[in-house]
Amino acid sequence: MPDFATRLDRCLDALRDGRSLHRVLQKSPGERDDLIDLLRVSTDVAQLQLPAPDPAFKLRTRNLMLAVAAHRRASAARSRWVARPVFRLALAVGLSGALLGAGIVAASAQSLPGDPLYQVKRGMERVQLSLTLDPAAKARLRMQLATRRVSEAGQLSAQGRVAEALSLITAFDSDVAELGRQVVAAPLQPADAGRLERDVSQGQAEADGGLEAVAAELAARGHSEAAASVQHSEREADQTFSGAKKALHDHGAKGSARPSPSPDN
Amino acid sequence: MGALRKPPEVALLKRAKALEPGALAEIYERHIDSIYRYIYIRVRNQADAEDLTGQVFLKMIDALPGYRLQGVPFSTWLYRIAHNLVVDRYRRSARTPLELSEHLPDASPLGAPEVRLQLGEDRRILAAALGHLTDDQRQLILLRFVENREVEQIARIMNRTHGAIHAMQHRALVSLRRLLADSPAVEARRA
Repeated sequence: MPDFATRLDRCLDALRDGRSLHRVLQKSPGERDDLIDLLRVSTDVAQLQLPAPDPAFKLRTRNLMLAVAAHRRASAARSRWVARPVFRLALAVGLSGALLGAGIVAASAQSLPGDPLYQVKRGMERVQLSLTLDPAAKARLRMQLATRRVSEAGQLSAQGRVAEALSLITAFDSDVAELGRQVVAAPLQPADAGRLERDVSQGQAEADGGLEAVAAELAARGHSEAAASVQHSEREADQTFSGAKKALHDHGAKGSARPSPSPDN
Repeated sequence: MGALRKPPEVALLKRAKALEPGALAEIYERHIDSIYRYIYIRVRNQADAEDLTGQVFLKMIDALPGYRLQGVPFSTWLYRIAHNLVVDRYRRSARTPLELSEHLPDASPLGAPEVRLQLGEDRRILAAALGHLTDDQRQLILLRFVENREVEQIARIMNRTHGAIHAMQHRALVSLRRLLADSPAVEARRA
């Protein structure tokens, strides 16, 4: 025999589906009044009208969500293309040859999205990544690029360029995710792992500080959803950093756990 | 001409997984109100509810490409995101939420005259009573009676067993009945 809570649930289902309660209630005459009382409370609750979201909030959130999705889609498409070896080689050779001697690279270092040289800066970063083969150096470079994106986002948010700042935060997310994957998969020496763990900690502190500043700036300018999105990125990044540090720590620990050579040998 | 029909969910979700703007906008429109209410009834203030609701949909964008069409129903999956964000917020913050009854809109027409809760006063009493339930009970009441969700789905959202949801539902309704019976306004009306 089902217990009272189950019988109550059957009554609620019958009520919800517009079926007769008679049969259900008939089966438990001793509890009939109790069941009817609770069903009455449930119908009262169903009449309760909770506040609907503010239409302006709904519109803002919808637009922000679609903007973030557009950036995600664009960066996914770019990653697929950039990941092709032929493209990477061509890019490395072509861009290095064309730009390294021209002095444009140095001039592009301070550029921001929207500046003519910004694409040069990002292109050079990709070249650097392609040409860096050592796993620890590559992870360090990735960390450096991630914090650079946060710093650029800080400058853009201070200029009120919210969508562009968020786009850079999206690039930061991708860099951090890639860093996490690299660190876990990289064949690192224990000593390298220990040094890289410290560098990741330092980079994390820098990124956290920068992201908090961006979120505060956006919030102060009334872009609370954008600020929330940056805080969300910070939390996600912190998780990835923690995972990466743990993986590096384990790498380092494996090295120190190895038996040292015997003095007799 | 027939009424406009919503696109089938599977086709819509396939497009949304590719982050197609039209599909995302459609999903957003379908779920924003219920997700907002779900969060609101937990955090009980508008600013936090808006903040967390925004985060749910940003998180959805991150996670959608990995969503499995054969897995949990989409709305359950979305509620799980909301649930986790609310739990995370509670862990991080010791802020005291405002009373739910302070934020309910003023009385509005509720339809037929036989509807029992047609007066703003009654709604405020009920809202105040809801405010005395536990967070989980309040969440369950909203999903079951306001959003009309199945027990099975609620169990998945709240990560509980079917039986635990039955028992919690029972306790929540009993508590509400007691709270309503103890309300001075209700007692005065009965006298």
